[in-house]
Amino acid sequence: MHPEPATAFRLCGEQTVRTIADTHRAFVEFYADAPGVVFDPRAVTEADLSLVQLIESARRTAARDGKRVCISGPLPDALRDVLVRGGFLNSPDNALFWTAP
Amino acid sequence: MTTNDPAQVFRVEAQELLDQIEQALLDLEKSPDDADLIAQVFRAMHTLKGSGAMFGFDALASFAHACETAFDRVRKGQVKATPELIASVLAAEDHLRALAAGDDVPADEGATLLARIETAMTGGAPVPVAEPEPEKNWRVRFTLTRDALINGTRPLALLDELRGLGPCDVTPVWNELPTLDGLQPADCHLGWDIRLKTRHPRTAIEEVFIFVGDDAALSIDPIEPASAAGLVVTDAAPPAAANDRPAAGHSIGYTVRVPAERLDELMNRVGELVIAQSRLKQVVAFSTDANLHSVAEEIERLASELRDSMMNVRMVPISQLFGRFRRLIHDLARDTGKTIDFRTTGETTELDKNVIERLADPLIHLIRNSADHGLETVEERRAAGKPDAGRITLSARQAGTEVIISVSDDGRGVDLNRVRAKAERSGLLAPGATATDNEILQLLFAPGFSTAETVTNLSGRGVGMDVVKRTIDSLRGTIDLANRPGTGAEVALRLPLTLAIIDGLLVRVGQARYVIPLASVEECVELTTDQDQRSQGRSFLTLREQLVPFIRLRELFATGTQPDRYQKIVVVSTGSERVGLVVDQILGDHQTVIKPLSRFHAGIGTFSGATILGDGGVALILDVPHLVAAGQQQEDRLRAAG
Repeated sequence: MHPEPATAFRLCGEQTVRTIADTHRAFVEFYADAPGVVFDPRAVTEADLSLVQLIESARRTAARDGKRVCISGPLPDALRDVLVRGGFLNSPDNALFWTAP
Repeated sequence: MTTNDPAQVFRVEAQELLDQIEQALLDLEKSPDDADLIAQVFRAMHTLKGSGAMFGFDALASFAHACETAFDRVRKGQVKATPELIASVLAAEDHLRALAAGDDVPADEGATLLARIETAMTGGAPVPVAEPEPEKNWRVRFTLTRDALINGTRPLALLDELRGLGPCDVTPVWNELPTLDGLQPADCHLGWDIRLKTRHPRTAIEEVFIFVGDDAALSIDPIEPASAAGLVVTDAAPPAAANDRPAAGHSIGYTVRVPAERLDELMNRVGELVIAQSRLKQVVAFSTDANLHSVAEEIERLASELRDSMMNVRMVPISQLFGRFRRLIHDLARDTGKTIDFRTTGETTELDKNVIERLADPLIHLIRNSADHGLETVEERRAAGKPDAGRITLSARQAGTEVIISVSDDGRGVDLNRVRAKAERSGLLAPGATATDNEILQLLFAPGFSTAETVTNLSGRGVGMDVVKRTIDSLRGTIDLANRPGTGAEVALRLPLTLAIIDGLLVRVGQARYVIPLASVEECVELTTDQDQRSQGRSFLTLREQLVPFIRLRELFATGTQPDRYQKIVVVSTGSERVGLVVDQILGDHQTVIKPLSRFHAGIGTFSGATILGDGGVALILDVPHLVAAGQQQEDRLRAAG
């Protein structure tokens, strides 16, 4: 994870239940000072539901705090697979959030 | 092993599941249309797959998945459970056992086995296709426990399986998802609400959740056509917890899995307590303090109850052992080409777990002997007017403090002439020597008697009848062999219920004390000086018109002491044989914690162990079967001498 100044939070490598605690810790720190967040998941090679939960939780937190959260770039296959199989793209609102260019 | 080793936890679970699969498959041979058995195999395979994946046994999970998929066709009635299919799945089960154990398996073995299953399925007569069930709509809602992800549960795989049943409309439910500050990132905060359209019955949906049974809050409700038409999913009320479901769901089993070594450790502690209590009893005997006596008696009662409870905990039904032999019979029948009718009785009989563990190899050998050498070929049986199927019966029953396990068959029996000839060739018996039938039969247990003739390719263990005898001896048991030429044979193993603590009779011979297992004691009679002098040289006692040989332990142990004026004879027996043991004094009953003899002394046949007495002294435990055999030999010699 290498937070970038321009509010982008870069996710890379394995993002599963085994590693998510570290990502969560880093993101909470990053989020505190960021006016808005752009998740960049392009370098994610392995993902599971814990990553989806973290991003969705960030989305809810941002809504509460009046910040903006979005996803940048094409979704990596690993994350897309989780989203499709878990039914997370079935509602238009969610599909827009996760897949908007 | 440690209980914290996840791989070992899985191996234990896998072993149980594979045992279930094996038993169900063997039952299925007899009842190939039994839907419950088919479902049982499928479910166990399904659980094995999920569990294997969870613990990182990926090759096993993948192979179990392929087997499960294949058996699913049987479950759906598309393929019949033919003997060929059952045999191929049994072979696959062996492969799964090897994978679970972490053994090296040939790279192509899995593919070969799956191909064999496929061939068996395509070769099996297709079942007439039943009228498909009408398509129904279901609403399935489930949430998992917080630790589900950490524990390896894969919700996405569950959703995939539901999709396998029919088209699904999947909606995640994450009302419970907290904001970042309250998020436990590795916890599972998700649930799902699914609309499923399928022709499969409700049980098929339930089976998807077998593996997460007690963890999932699950509800499965049929949707009436009117409401199903508009696939509108609203935020669902949390489904009822799985444990609230009616009996059709999963019930909690009030059992705790405990490693065997912990039980052994606990048993040792109880043994030490019994010894300490014995010392207390001895100390208190010199006190006049009534309160102290009262407390000592209370402790004695509690120690005795604790001992009995501990014994019960260690007792396991012998069905655990018997179950394994059904597979052995299946393989023996296949390899020998004989039809074997295998019957078991008394499976609920309980025996100490340590005894059961050590009985497996001897019983395998006895059963193999029955199948290989006892049972005739079909042609021979027909010629003898017997049914085609040879019968092997494995039975267990409790008799007092012993368990009798017997292996019998209705085959040709033991050919005594052949045994004799072989014994003469091997030098175990002098050519032409006089020997009773029983003595000839006993030669079967002589070291060196087992030859290549009696070891089949199925054995691979090198266990001969002499090893069977040694094992049973080490368990303080005895072997009775009954031969019925032309109609069969029976080998009966008499075993003590436990190896840890026994009730003993404490006796004194000279200055030393000995323990005689109380279970072997029939009665005690007095041997007066007059009787003793009259019987010198004969060593026989007339007891209710029967001659009973007796052994003077004072002479046997060469105590060098004068006999007490009123000696006692403790009559002990093993089965139908009896012998009297002459002792100087009977001291009373004694809870005997059995301690093994040192390696140096282990070979002394007269003693089976030792125990620590209340005063800290040591008493040797007499090996009754050995002494009875010695007494009988003495009787035989005297009879032969006329």
